[in-house]
Amino acid sequence: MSSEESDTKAVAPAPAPQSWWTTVGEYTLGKDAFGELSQMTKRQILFQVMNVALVVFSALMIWKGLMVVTGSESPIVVVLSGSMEPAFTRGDLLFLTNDKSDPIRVGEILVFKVRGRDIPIVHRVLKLHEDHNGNLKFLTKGDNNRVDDRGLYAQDQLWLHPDDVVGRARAFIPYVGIVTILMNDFPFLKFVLLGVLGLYMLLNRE
Amino acid sequence: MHSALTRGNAIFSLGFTCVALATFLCAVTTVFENPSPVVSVNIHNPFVRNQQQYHRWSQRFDRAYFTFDLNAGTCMPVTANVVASCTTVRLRFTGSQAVNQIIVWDKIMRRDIDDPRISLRDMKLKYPFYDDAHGLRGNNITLSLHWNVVPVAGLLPRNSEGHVTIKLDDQYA
Amino acid sequence: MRLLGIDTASWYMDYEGQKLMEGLFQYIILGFMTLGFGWGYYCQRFEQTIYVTLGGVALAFLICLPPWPMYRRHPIKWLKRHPKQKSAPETS
Repeated sequence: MSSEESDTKAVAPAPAPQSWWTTVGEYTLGKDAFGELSQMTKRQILFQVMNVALVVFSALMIWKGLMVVTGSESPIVVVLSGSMEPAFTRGDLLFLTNDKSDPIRVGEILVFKVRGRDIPIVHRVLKLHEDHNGNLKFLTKGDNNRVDDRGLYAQDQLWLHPDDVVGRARAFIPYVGIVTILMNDFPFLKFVLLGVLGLYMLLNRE
Repeated sequence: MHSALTRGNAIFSLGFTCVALATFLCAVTTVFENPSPVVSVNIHNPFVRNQQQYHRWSQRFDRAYFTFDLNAGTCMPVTANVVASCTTVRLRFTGSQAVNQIIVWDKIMRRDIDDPRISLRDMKLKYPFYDDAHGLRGNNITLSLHWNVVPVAGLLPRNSEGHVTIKLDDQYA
Repeated sequence: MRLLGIDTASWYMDYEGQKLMEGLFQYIILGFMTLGFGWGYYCQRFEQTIYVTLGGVALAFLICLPPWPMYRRHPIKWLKRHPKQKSAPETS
């Protein structure tokens, strides 16, 4: 975004054809945004597309890298329900690790998935039994719930096992996940956001 | 900065970066905390029964009962990076399994809303104390108090504890 | 559309004004963040830090976003249009 004022002459802009979309483009993106787009050669358009693809793919690689480092299949989780208030409210972000060599202990905050369902649940370990072979089973409960989680488990399942655990909560940032909750509650926002981002990235030369 | 949109974008991104930086600095301030609570625990009247659990009628399990007294000075540090403190009274014992840990009583204290001191007398267990089979008679149990502090931002497991150990009866009551 | 007495299609500032505005909003936001952090540390409440910082951001928006007259003190000196030259679209 440089001010390409040549030191020879500054020329006043030509009157652009006025239709409603050029007017909108003028007010939001600066004059001649759509004129720029129509002037870009095929090579420049391809270059823009490749830039966008580069950003998307690096984000994906960072995510996969985090998955490997922490050992958990979902290293960043947004708290979706209010069952752990007042400690965690809806929309907080949790960072998880899943270190299998560090044994789970009572009172830790776990994120687990019930077999057959896809929603991760964030609760605290209430009871734990480990036998002499190292097989572990435990029961969880949300801080704000009156009863333990046996009602949430699968049919005939009374205990959880370390395989059901997605990770243990290690770090916490408040309110950052509000975006995810809004997009879950109002799915059309996803398309609005993608559309705006896509438009901005394609029309902007940076 | 030629259009209002680029100006707004620049101001907004600097504001957002500053908020994130302030949050990060707040998280860093908790690194130097090292609390250790002063706790006194007494256990009264322990006994063991052989009972059915409500969801598994065909089997009988050992269940132990007792009441306890607990006194603790404060269960929450008074620093900026605290939202709430989950105080739990935990039991550790070796019964029919190698390792057993149970939370028998808990309380969530919010900062500035709930009283951070604990003073309990003759408190009954909030959650039932079952063994997985029949290994409770004649065993030792250790009762400990833990507080787990939830921060405004930062690393999660911030724990402290204090404890006492007693021995259970040899016979069923 | 007219807002604040200025045609919104030309919410522009000249270059000296842009430099002034950039320095202003950076100092305002950083200053409020430092103040907020100190205040929050003093009363041990982190919400105060966030509120003060956000207040600083709002103030920065108010002072630096609209093109106040102080940002228009050095207008660009356009040269006269050459009568025979074809006009080309302006690059920004």
